[in-house]
Amino acid sequence: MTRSAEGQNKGIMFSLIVHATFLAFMILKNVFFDSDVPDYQAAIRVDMVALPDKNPTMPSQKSEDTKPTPVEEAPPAEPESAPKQAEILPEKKPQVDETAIKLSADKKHDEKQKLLEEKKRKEALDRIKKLNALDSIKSSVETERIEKLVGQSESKAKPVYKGNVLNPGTELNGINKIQHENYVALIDRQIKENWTLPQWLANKDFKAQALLKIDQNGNIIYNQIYKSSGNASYDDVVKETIQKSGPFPKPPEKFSAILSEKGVLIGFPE
Amino acid sequence: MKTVLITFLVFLATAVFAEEQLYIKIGDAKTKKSLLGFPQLNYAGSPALASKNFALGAELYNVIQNDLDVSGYFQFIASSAFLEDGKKTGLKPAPGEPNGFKFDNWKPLSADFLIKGEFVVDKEDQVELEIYLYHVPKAGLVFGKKYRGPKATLRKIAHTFANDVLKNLTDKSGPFNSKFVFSSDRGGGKFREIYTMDWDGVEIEKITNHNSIALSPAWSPDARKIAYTAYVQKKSTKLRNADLFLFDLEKSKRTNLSYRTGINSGAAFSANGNSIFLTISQGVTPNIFKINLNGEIQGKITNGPGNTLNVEPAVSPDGKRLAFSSDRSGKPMIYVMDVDGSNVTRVTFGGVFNSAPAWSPDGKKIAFAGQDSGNFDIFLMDSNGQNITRVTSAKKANGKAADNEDPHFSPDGRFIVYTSNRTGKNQIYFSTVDGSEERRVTQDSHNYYKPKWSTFLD
Repeated sequence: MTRSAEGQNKGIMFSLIVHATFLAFMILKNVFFDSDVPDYQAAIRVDMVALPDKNPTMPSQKSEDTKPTPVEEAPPAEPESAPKQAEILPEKKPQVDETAIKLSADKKHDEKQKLLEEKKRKEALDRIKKLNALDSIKSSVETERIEKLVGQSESKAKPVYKGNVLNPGTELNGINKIQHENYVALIDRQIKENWTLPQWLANKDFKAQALLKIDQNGNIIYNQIYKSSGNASYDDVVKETIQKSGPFPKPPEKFSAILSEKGVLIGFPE
Repeated sequence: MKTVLITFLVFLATAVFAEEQLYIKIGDAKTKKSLLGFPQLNYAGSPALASKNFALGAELYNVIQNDLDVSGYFQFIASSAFLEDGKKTGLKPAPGEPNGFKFDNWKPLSADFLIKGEFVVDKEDQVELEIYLYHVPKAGLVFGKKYRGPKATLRKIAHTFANDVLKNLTDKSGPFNSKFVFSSDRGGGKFREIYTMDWDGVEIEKITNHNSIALSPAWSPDARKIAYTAYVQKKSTKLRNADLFLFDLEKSKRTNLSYRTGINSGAAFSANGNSIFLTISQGVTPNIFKINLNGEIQGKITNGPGNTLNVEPAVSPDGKRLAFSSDRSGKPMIYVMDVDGSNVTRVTFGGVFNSAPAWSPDGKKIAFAGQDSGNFDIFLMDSNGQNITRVTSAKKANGKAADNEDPHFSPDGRFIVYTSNRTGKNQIYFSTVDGSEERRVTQDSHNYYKPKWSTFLD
């Protein structure tokens, strides 16, 4: 009994001493050896913590990212083009005239042009006002009526000076504008889907422009390099890409004249 | 920005009508590898010798195939899909050639290109390779050539053809005849010596025999000389000192260029090859100096501040600027300055330890090893520090981070070589600059350090 009690006391004493020593050591260490304390100065001096992660999209995988969702595609352009055929049809004929007349008309052109321009500007402004009013109403019936109005004012303008007839498609406002933008977006999307370069032509900063003309049925009637990249292979791929992307959907009537004559200039890539 | 931008003017108020052209910016292209048909190389000489020379043909073929595969431009059509027997068809297309091949046998496979070649070992024991690259959709020849040389140059013949393929398609030769120089313990023991090696991991040659630690090798611009540092004993003091040596590969001649007490290390040749930038500590602070090839100091390029490190100079390809690493901001970071030491600009701010800058051959990019969360990875940025991208992210088999260090560009600028310890040993790897197409070059259990890619070699 006494022995074990003695042993117990010894043990307690020993334990106390060890703990006290350890405590003293830790206190002393923290008081006198503060160099071990984390250097907050340095820690704060971090300029920017992170370096970038490895980019997971490698060039060969780009295709997955850029695929457009097919859901958005066709709907906007087509349903609306149908009802308008009636009123737009007549405008296609003067279109044919225009090219013929332009040649002879060019000389007289200058003197009268200013007057004409004035006039047209007024007309155009009127039209904008009408359209704006219309837009706010947002009734499709109303829209159609106004479009008729616009159509009328155009057909009135033509006899005045045939040589400077407005390209029908350039009168893009209201719904026409949206329609045409949609159609251009559609061409863009369709070509972009086929726009694939072989690796050995990629990342070389080649830039080419191609001129694309489309007939009223959406068929490609002209596909040529307008501005060469300077690399024949690249230019070839550009032309092939366009060819592969055709034929395109039937363009809106008002737009088809522009598409078949002036065409669309397409920058690969910009 | 790169999305569709439709230039679509609406002429409502002006009469400048119709002068505007509809314009579409189509944006960046997707990319694909070109499908390549590459039947085996037939032996063009006496059929009796064909089997004797079979191994030569196989090696020629394998080297070409590996080169073109590494280029990242091609995907090989499996030979099992071939529609015609390569053994029976000749090098040229069918009309006009009795045993000509038919493009129509390659078009159904969607082949973009076709390589047809044959080889022969002539009486003078020279290997001759006659080989043609065809564009299948156009049914036309891109180029064809004969290559001839001693058997010992077999790989070089194959590499040269692969270089020519790239040259014909991209106007830029491939790097397939270039070499690496590096420091390695592959000789055994604790020693590290300097070696050279073809970029595809063969033809390893030992350059130094110091029986010591040799490190930080650098090619001269013409790849005829190698500068490196080795710890060698000074006769006077018997102490080991890190001296800078110059080794002339053609003369096999070694010169001790700089033996100033302390460090003489991290050599980088000037663009004209007449000077070397290196770090000299002279027993005190490591600073960057410029010396000539006689070892005489031409200038002290950095000067502190204080006793900060200024190390690892890398000369820009135009020879006008130096990238280097310095801990003057508290942490090692990459800086760029003019070669005379003026206009010092800090270019890295990310991470905690950025080192080993290397310029791309066009001078537009700098690769470096950067540490942010414990391990080093290879990063790429514009030379002004913008647009940092991570090139490596490989981990060890156990999922722990590996160190990927010491980047250096291939002479064509498409690849970056570096070391990685992901296998437990420091091995040499390279990948394209975007981090794809990574290849392991060394396949052993030795350690390799500071690989440097030579310029184009013929």
